[in-house]
Amino acid sequence: MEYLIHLAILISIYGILGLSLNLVVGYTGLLSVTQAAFYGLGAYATAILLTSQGVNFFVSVIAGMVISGVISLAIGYVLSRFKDDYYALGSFGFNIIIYSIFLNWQSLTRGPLGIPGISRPSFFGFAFSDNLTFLILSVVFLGLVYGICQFITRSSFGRVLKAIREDEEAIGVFGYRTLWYKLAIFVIGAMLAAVAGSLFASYITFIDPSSFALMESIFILAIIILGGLASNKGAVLGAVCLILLPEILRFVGFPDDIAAQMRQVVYGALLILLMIFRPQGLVGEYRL
Amino acid sequence: MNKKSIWIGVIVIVVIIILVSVSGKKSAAPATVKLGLISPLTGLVEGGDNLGQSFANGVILAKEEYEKNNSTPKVTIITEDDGYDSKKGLSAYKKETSIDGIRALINLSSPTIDVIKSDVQAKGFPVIQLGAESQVTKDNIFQIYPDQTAVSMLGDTANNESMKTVTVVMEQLQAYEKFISDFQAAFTGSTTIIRVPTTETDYKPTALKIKQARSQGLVMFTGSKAGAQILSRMNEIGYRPTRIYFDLTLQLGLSDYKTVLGKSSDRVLDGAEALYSVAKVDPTFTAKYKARFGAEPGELSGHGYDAFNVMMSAYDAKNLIWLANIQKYSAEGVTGKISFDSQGLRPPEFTIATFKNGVLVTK
Repeated sequence: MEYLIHLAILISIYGILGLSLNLVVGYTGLLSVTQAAFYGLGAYATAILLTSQGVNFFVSVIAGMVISGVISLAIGYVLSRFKDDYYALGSFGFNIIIYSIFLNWQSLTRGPLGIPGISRPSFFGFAFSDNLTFLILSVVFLGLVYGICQFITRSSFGRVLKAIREDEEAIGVFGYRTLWYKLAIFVIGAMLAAVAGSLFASYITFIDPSSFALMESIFILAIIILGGLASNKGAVLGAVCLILLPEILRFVGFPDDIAAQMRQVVYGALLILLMIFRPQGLVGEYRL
Repeated sequence: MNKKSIWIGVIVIVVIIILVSVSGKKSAAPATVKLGLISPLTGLVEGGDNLGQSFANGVILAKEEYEKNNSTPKVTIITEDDGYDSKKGLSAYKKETSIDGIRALINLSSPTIDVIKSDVQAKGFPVIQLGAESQVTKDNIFQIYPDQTAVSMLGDTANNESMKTVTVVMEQLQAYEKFISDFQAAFTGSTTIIRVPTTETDYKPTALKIKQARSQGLVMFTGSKAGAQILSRMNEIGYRPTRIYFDLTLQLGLSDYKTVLGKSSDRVLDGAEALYSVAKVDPTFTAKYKARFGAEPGELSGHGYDAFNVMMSAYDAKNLIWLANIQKYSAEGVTGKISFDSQGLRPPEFTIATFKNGVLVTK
């Protein structure tokens, strides 16, 4: 049961990440690979505040969101000058910059040594110390983030985002200042990713820079592509599939000396097949 | 809700039911001991050597020998990959403890042990870890790689040779960060640190940075293949510091240095000082490993082999006795003499050796 609870917690965390990135990529059409950086900012904010300042977890979540929001404002402003492939390359670069800061700002982040001993959340004396209560907390956060994303995407603001995705110039002609919409959704996405980071840090109790490298951004992108772009349900479903699939493959019998490598091959092959037969994702609205 | 959504929901529910059903599996009968093995079978490749797989191969080889010589208790090894990633390591650990019901664990990765440490301590079963936990305490975790605080010997050596400035080149791994702090604790001069990603393939910029630093000494905390490439690029640009210091990798990977540096290896390495293990390495281990796996043992294969043998030589059905047996274990392994101090660290058997005329010579 511990194993299932663990997987459910990971699904909640990655569901939040998928929802946050879906706002940027799926609804607005901005191909961003920076999400792991904001995820990491939230995680490090929580880790540092909990371990060295003894701050309450929920306060650290807000702090992580603010830090992530401010940094994403600067990054988003630069990126909003770009389009398409250049946007993706630029976001790629920013992810690497932030990862390098995690790795090399030793006095703050302890570099590759990471930050151990991150405590579990507590709320008015009630500690979420066992995994079941932490799961409940994660699911509550997932629900909140899902609600926020549904509200955004169903509002007039959300309709403008979709219009930007379809034809930015046309919507600009109607007088919409697309730069501000793109910037706003980028910042909102970053702040929601920071929430996932805070949860991750507190659950896993140890973080190091390797958890927030470029590959993690690509993994989050794969979640929403697999689940389906411009679909909040799809983002959560993508997280379910991509967290469960490698775990299910642990139970598939291969010889010990090639098992791990074969599992990666099978995992990759399944993803390719899924994209061939369902290129819009499981419940997606459109193809990238 | 359309048909596709319903089908997707059905598939997800079926998967959850399967996982729930396997999660109820009990531990094997007492006559079978389930050992967990978590190793970065993918994800930790240093200079072409898949460290995690070679470590796991050492464990597998030891287990096969054990089975030939012992009928009880039987041993099953549950091997899982953590990709040198804390999240995957935690998933592997949760699977092995709650579904496979392991009785003990052999682990390689530092990120994994840091993440699972509090749970492992609470469960109280024996864990043999390769090394480099971020915080070492007196508990049920034992370290099979010799404690690298001996790195401070390199700092003392540099002081004795009147070095005022050194450049430390390190691959960006957690273990090497500890080496740096141990080295700096002993060395009284100033240190310039150059960090190299483990995925680096072009070492010329590193060589240029070393040249630019113009330190008297150079300290190499890298794998042997990466280290050899760095020295080769330095040779190409015609730069050599007064003295080069190495951790154990010059001894363990001397063949890599000679292969990459070729005819200039003796000149480039002449006078280099290195940590040297005086442990007598079992020469038959290499032959057994090659016969089984068709390749040379990797840097950590012997440690995996020793980890299994320590675990099963000390075995007792009761965890407290098993742990006590490991604590007082003292025997020769294929990587040298193995024993553990009160914090579960393995004392090193190191001295400083100097490279002269193609070989390492101890003082």
